[in-house]
Amino acid sequence: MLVTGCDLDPRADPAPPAPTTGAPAAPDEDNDLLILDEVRAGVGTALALVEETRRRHPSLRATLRPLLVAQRAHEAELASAGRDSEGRGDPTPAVRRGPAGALAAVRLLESRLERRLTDASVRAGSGGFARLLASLGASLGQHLTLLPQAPPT
Amino acid sequence: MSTLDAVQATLAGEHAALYLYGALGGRTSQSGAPALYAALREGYDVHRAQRDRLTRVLRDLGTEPVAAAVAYDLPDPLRSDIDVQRAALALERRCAAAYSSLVARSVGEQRRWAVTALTSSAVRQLTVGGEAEAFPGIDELAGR
Repeated sequence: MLVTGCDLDPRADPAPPAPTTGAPAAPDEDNDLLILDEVRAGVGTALALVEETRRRHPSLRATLRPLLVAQRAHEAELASAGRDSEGRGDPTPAVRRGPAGALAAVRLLESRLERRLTDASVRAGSGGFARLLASLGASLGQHLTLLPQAPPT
Repeated sequence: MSTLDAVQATLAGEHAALYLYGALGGRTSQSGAPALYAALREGYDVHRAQRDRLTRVLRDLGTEPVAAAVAYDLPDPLRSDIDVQRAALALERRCAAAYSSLVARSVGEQRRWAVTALTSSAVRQLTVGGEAEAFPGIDELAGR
């Protein structure tokens, strides 16, 4: 037997699930659109903070570049997932004066966004949408792990 | 694939993951490659806990959990630490894909747990040579 640890084709079309296992109900599209708007607002705000932090603190440009690239990809994927955004973004926090404080502020906002993505994934009606949101959260988990605690010297 | 099938498939993957982690750990020197050894040890412990949880879930549902195979083929070659690390990374990528699939096919607390397992696997990839991605667990979005 070939080792296929955790192998499961993620692209397989979901069939009607077994009723005894807490199967997903029929997706509530209105609810998912509300979640999409909420998540796009959160990602947009976090991305704006990363961009502004890089602009104000050149010493953090390289440090924050991987996160910037990932979050732009997240924004693009979410944009392709649904209707035009209604533009209700969260207020973007001001960039802190020193690089250390600015980096800590990015970390805090991204950590909150990771938790919001997990909660949004659990609330999503569509399994495919839930999967996308979970992946975005996992991506932030990776980037937060790699983000240094202190700015480069 | 039903939710139950997805849980069974994830459990089958965890059986294989445990076997492979055990084999990889057996080929790694604790003193010669301490970081890799620690990563493999942690991976083994986490996957064992996940296997046990999936087993309990299935039993609670009155379903017989899929059993582990007697043995599994190992990746070839496994001669160096790099080979071992590469095999562990490939394994965690498959696990992330499995848990992302489970996210899509579950609801409520079971889905929340699957999200946590996906993130855990994605972060563990960093300890075995992986890089941060934009869409861990979703192979069709890789490279975006």
